[in-house]
Amino acid sequence: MGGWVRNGTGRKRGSWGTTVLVVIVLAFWALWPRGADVGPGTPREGRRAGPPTELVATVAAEEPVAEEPQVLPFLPEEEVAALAVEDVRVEPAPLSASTEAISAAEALQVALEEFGLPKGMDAWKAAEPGTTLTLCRFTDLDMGRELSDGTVDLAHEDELVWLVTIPDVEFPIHPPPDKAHLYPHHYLADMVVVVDASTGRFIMAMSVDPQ
Amino acid sequence: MKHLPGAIMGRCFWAPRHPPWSDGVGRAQFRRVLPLVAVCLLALNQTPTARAAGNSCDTPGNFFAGTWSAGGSARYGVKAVIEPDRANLCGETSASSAWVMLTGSRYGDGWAQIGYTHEGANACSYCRGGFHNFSQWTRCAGCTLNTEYYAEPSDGQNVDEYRVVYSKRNDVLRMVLNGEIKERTDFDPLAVWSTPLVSDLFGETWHQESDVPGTASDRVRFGQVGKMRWDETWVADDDLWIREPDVWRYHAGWVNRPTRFETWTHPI
Repeated sequence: MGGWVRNGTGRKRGSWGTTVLVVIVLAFWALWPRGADVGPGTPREGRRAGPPTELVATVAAEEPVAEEPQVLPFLPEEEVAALAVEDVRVEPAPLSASTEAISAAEALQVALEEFGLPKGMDAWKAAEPGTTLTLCRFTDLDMGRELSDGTVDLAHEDELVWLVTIPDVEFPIHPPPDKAHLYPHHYLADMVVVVDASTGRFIMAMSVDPQ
Repeated sequence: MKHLPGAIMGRCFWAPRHPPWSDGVGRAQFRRVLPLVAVCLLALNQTPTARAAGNSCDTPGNFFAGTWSAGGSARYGVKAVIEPDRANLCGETSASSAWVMLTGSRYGDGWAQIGYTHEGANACSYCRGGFHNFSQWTRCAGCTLNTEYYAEPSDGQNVDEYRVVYSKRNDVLRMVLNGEIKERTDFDPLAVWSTPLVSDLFGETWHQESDVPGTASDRVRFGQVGKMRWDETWVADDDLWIREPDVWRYHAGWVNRPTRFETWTHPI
C-alpha cells in the first residue's frame, strides 16, 4: 500500500487503492450487524430489565420491531429476596426511588466498564443474556469500621443501589501454594455488581451461588 | 461476556480454503476478505491488553513468590501493606496478583485472603483486564468459594493495607482493607481448620510466562508485615520464611526481616 507520503514536492502522493480500502473498511465497519440481535428492546431470553425508553425509541426508529411492553427495571419481590446472600440484605426499592436514581443503562455501563468494557461501548449490547438490573435498598452487614464496643459502623446501610446480576460468571481462584493443585483456575457463580444508584459509583462485586 | 471486539475477533479465525496467492480466484477471494481482515485488525487494536503481552502462555498453573509461616507458631491475624503493580501478563488468559492470607495447616483446609489482582481480558468471564482489590475465602477444598471485588488499589503515598484477622467476638475471620472490614467467613476457623493457622503473603501468577508483581528496578514491597497474637496485639512474625519461588524468573527477598520483603520478576 502506498499510503500517504510526501513525494518531495510538498504534495501528498496517495494511493487510490488505500483510499478505496479505507472507504470500504469504514463502510463495512458502519454496516456490520453488531449485536443487532441482542440490542435493547429486542426479545432476548432471560433479560428481564429493559432499557430506558429513549433507547427503545431509537431502535424502533431504525428498524420496526414488534411493540415491546415497557419493562420497568424492577424484579418481583421474591426474586429480589433471592439475591440476598449471607450478611447482605436487599429489599426492593419503591417505584418512587427511580426518580432519584441513575438510569438502568447508566448503572449497567458503570458495572461493565468496571470490568473492562471499553469506554463508549454500549453496555446494553454487550451484556450477557440473562443479565438483570434491580433497584434495591442495600445493607452489607459485614462492611464497615469496627467500633470500640465491637459493633460495626456499616459502610452501606439502606443505600439505594443498582444490583447488576450476571449469571454463570467464571471467577478466578487464588489458593495457597500448598493447596493449589486441589483447585482449578475458576469456579462458576453468578456475579452481583453493586452500583451506587445515587452517584453511579462502583461499590463492589460479589460471587453468589445460583439460586 | 461477549462484547463487540470479541465477537468480531471470533470471526477472525475464519480463513479461505486455499491460500489467497494460489490462483486468480484465491486472489479475488483475498481482495474480498481484505476489509474483514482490516476490521479484525481494528478490533484487535481496540481490545484492552495487559501492560505487555510478551511470550505465549504455554505453562498454566499457580506459581508463587513470597513468604509464609508453614510449620510456625500460633497466630490469629496477618497483615501487610502491598505496593500495587499491574504486572506483565503473557496473554489475556493469565492473571497476576499479590495478597495476604490465613489458611488452616491441614491439607484440605480452606483460606481467607485479601489483596489485589490483575486479570487478563479472558482470564475469567468478567476479568476484562481489570485491576481490583479483592477478597476470597472458602471453608475447605470442595466447599463454596466466595469472592468479592472492590475498587482499584491505591497508589502513591498511601498504599493499601490488607489484614486477615480472627474476631473473638464473632468467631470468624475478617478480611480488612485499610481498617475497613470488607468480608468475613461464615464459620469459625479455629473450630473447623487445623491449627496453628498459617500466614501466606505471596505474589502469584497463572502462567510461568507472566510476571509476579515487581521488576528488578521497581520491586514490589510488602511492608509492615506482622501477625496478630491472641490478645489482639500485632507483632513481627519471626516464623516467616521465604519460600523458594516456583519460577526461576521470580524472586522474593527480605529487605528487613521479618517486617519487609519484596517480590519481583527478572528478567521480565
